[in-house]
Amino acid sequence: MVKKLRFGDLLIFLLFALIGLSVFLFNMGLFNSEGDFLEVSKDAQVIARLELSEDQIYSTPDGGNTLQIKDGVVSMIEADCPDQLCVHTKPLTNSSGSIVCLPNRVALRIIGKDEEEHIDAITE
Amino acid sequence: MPSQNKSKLIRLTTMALLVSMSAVLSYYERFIPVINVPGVKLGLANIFTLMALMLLSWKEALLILLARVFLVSFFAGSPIGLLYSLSGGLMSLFAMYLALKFVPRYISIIGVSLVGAFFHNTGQCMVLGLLLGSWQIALGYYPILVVAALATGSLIGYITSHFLNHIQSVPLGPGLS
Repeated sequence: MVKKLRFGDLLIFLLFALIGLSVFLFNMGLFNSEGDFLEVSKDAQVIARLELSEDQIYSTPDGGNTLQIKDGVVSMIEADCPDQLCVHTKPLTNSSGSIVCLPNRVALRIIGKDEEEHIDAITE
Repeated sequence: MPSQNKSKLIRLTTMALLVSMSAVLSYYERFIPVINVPGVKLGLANIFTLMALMLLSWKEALLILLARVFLVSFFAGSPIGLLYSLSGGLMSLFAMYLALKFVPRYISIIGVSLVGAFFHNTGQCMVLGLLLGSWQIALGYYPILVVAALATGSLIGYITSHFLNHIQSVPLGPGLS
């Protein structure tokens, strides 16, 4: 049992790689829509929707996270969490991606116009 | 000493050793930089979960896992961190147990470790999705986590197989398979 590599190992490796690849391709389809808005959510609730065309600095209500929009590029400039991973995350442009602060459960993502209308339609 | 008591003692001592070793590695591995993605780590503690599964039983492996997760979270973690470790750890242990139970002939310890790493990250990703309330963001992280699981799973499996090979050449006494 302990000894050398078996056929199943390779199969498992390929299966997992395939799953990862298909999720990646699925994401490409999901995220390729360009957006003009930044959605800020905390604890699974949307707390702000900001326009990318407007240069601004926004802090979450509890002051835990501060983000900056400058020339359409979003970056987290301050966070009170110990790991600071969100601050070091690659800044967002208007095409894709997300910035997540796990300790504070804050998530930033770019959304398009349709998505905003879609959400508005639900709340009405 | 009757041999049954002795075997119990040896199992208990082995469990204690595995808990302490996995707790220490689980704590110190955060100082080993991997890549700057939240949730990606080497998973060195999984070496001992795997060893527990091979040497003892799934029940004892579960106890070792729970003890390690709670110890490390109490000493050096956060409640959210506990939630991630627990979800990942339990998913991983369950999946490795099933892999060992149903297809042991076709996979080596590296395959079992791969299954563990994959389901560990899958479990964490599910909790991430639940906590953030956004499946899109969780799915966005998922491919990176899968690639990381493939790399760390292979590495951990390789280390564990050597570890076990070495241990099996040492007389452990009754009670350990």
